[in-house]
Amino acid sequence: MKTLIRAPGLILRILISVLLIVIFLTPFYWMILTAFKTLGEVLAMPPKFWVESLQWQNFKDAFTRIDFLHYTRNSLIITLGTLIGQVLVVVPAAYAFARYDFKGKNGLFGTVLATMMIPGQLIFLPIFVMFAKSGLLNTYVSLIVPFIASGTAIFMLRQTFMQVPDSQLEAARLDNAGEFKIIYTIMMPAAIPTLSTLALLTFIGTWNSYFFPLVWTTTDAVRTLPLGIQRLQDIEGLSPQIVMAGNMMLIVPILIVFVVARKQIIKAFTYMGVK
Amino acid sequence: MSMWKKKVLPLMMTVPVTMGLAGCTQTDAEVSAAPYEKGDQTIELQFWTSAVEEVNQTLVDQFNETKGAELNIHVNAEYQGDYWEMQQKVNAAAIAGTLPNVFVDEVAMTKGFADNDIIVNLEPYIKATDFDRSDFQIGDLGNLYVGEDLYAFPHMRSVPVMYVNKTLAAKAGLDANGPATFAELEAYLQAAHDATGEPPMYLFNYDFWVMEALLHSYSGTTVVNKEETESNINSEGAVKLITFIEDLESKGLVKVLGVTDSDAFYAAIAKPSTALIFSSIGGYKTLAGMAQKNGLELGVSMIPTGEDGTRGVPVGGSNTYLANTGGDQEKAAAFEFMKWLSDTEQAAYASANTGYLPTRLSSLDTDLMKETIAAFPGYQVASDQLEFSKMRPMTGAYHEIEDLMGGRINEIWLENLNIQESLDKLAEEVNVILNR
Amino acid sequence: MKNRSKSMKLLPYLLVAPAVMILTIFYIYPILYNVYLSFFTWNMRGPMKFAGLNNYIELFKGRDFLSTLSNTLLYMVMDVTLVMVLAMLLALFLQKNTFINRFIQTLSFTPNIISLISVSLIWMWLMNTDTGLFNYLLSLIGAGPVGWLTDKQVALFSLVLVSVWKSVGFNALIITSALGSIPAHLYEAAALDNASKQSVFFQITLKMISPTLFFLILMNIIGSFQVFETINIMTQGGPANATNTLIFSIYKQSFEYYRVGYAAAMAVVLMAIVGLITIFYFKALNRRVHYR
Repeated sequence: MKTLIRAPGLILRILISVLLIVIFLTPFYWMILTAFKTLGEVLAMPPKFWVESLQWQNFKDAFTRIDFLHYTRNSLIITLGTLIGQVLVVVPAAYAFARYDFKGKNGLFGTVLATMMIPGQLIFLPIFVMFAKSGLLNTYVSLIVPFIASGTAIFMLRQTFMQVPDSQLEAARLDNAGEFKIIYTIMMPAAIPTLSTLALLTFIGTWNSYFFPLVWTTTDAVRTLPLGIQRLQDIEGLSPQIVMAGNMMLIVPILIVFVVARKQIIKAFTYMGVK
Repeated sequence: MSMWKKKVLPLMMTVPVTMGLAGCTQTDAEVSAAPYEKGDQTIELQFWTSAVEEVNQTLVDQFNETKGAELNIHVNAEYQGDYWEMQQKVNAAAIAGTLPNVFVDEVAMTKGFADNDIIVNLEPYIKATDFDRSDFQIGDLGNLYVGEDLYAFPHMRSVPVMYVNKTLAAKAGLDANGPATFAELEAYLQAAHDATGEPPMYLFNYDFWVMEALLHSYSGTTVVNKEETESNINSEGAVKLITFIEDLESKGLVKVLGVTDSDAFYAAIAKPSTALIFSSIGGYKTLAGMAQKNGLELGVSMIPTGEDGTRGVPVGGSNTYLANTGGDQEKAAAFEFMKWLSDTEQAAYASANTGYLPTRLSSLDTDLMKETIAAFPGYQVASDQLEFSKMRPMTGAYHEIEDLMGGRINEIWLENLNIQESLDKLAEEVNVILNR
Repeated sequence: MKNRSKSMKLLPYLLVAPAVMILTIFYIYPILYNVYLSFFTWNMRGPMKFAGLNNYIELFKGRDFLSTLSNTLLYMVMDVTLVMVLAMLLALFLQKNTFINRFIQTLSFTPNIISLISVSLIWMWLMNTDTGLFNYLLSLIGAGPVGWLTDKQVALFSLVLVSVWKSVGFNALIITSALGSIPAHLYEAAALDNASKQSVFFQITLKMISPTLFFLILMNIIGSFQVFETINIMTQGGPANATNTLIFSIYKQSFEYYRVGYAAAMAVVLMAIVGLITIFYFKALNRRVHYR
């Protein structure tokens, strides 16, 4: 009796599960499939759900139609620059907010938190004008510096630093250790999990970033891979197989990182959502 | 708190101050220019290209190997995307002070660039180098002049033409040259539609340039008045044209495509069921190739004539511009490159490899052009159509106006709005922009 | 000794100075500068002309700003509602910690770490009217074709679909984690009281996770105002302006039509909306905290 009642529920559960998998997997599958098709197969109606032979040529085409290496290099430089800049700027600030009492602290920290609420998209125009007037358009600086004082990062690190026991700090101060020594020998090691989480978030955010590199650059000099892929769409829009091959090359590094650090990334995003 | 305030504020105040200064640079158009003189050091030039990447790159490579090597000039080409992306980047670069030396962009933008000091008057350079402009096939009506002065060289210039699917025409027993007048258009499309059951014609009105040709030819009117102070989009002729297309659309004879459909539009040209399409001759080679792959023969005819045999086509495409950047010698070197790029052989090469019109009369006498015209008769049709040349509007705000008109007119067709009423409102909106 | 204490007093300021300076230059100052720009007519090249409130007057007199604003709000309402409802259902469905549920959770989260441009390109291809997968599938059941990105009535909703697909997994993840942190004894007590399933859901589950839900709603609202990538790649604001939203419009007015002041005025309006929503949120939050 009991199994009879449960069976429909179970079947429904399985059906929904399959449906969910299909919904979330299909776009990826379709991208991969398209990337390996010939143009004829791409345009065939009804579409083919499998390919006879893999067209690796599409990847070669995508790679040569745009200066793939150039865009990738820019993406890496900007990602790396943002990571390093964040450590230099965010760690001292978070340390001060966590371990010091000073006049104006609440106001300053409030300002930091408030900036988290401001969508950067809203102020791209005044910043563009600032960059243009100061000759910073089309420089790596313009795509790195605005992002290194991340409010989220300061907030997360501050929480971590606050949990370092006072006794450790006292001991270090008795040894006459300088503040920077304290930061680098006590605070940073204690914050390694948080720092690596932040590094992952920054990597994902910077690698994927499209809007700011689009509006704050006017030449290809410092443009990043997402813009390169858009360029590919502009010039090869009638050949979806090449666009999808390029798109795959943009996605794969992120997917690799995701597969390797899945648990940590999910934890990081969960933290961001419930802070 | 007070501490960082003091430090930060002075630093920020400098920003608006420098902004004010940068806007004030003015150049005197009447200054004379010295001809280029070869120096010991190679002059590096930046050249921004648009629309057709490969042909431009090949030409630049050729220049660097021949004339450039001779004159000690080296050109670096960088592709910047379509005309509007290019316009955006050029304007941004002008503010940032990072203009390239020469760039390619759409012809209706000439005045906007000149008004904003982004490009340089070419007259002094023409005088200094005894350049002969009478060989340009596209001249007075080519959106090259601002006032009396030449501000641009024609680059890849085009006219809208009517592409005819000859394969379908033969099958349906229709004239392989397509309809000669708009009066014959409906019957022609109906017959093609009966033969296939599919839409026989696509219209991409966001390419407003094609609409300009229809306004000239079907309605005998223009988009804006001669002084460019008032819109003609609600004139009797314009209303008749929009009504005419709506009628064809409701009968399933024309399919109107929106701004997002440019890819679908170009794909539609090579469809076996598409009988006619109005589009640029600039894509001739590409489109003919696509059609051939689908086993179709694509013919080229002139835009049909209106009631009294009226016909007019705007001469669009791109110009090259000499940007207001660099020292005198750099500018003189850039002008040398522009001259070379527009010269007989290069103009022929650019034309033969794309479909754009050869910009030089002398190009027509080259072997390359003769062979090309023999193999692709559409070139001759487009060249002949130049007889009906019209200028494109010059106003710097035309891109905004084009977008607005494209969107609004699309809306009329898609939602069957009252045509006169909607066009009256649209004309008012355009007038606001024109008189801003 | 005295020296040290003095430098110790300065030290925290020095430590926060770089971060505060950068945030000031790239957040606070641009907001003010943007307001300043909105009172001028300027094409980025020539001189700036003071325009008073003209840009604002033109905003509310013209047709396009109001339709852009209503598109933005419509997009926001559809996006936030769909994301929240579907994420809630997904989270409840995946509550049990089984292998298959963990797999689905990871899978549904994956789109969130992919760039929006990639997602846009894939969906644009799926939604292609003539050769896309969606219209083929519809044709199998005799429906369609739908002009996903070309039909004025559908295009904005299509963009919402893309956004929902991308972010529902992330939202579900947060809700799942909030669900997991509800103390078990509350459910046990309810079971002892023989409470109905509905009342358990509304009285315990929903109540306990409501701070998380409110936070997610705020985040999604602010996020939806920023929609740009999908529009720029998939629709360009068309067809017939149906998907023209504020950020895209600001971008177009400033970078394509060179109407800096007008675009800045638009940004001021959007900023005011975001500000009001945020203040409202914190007010509501404060009241809740006091209530507890």
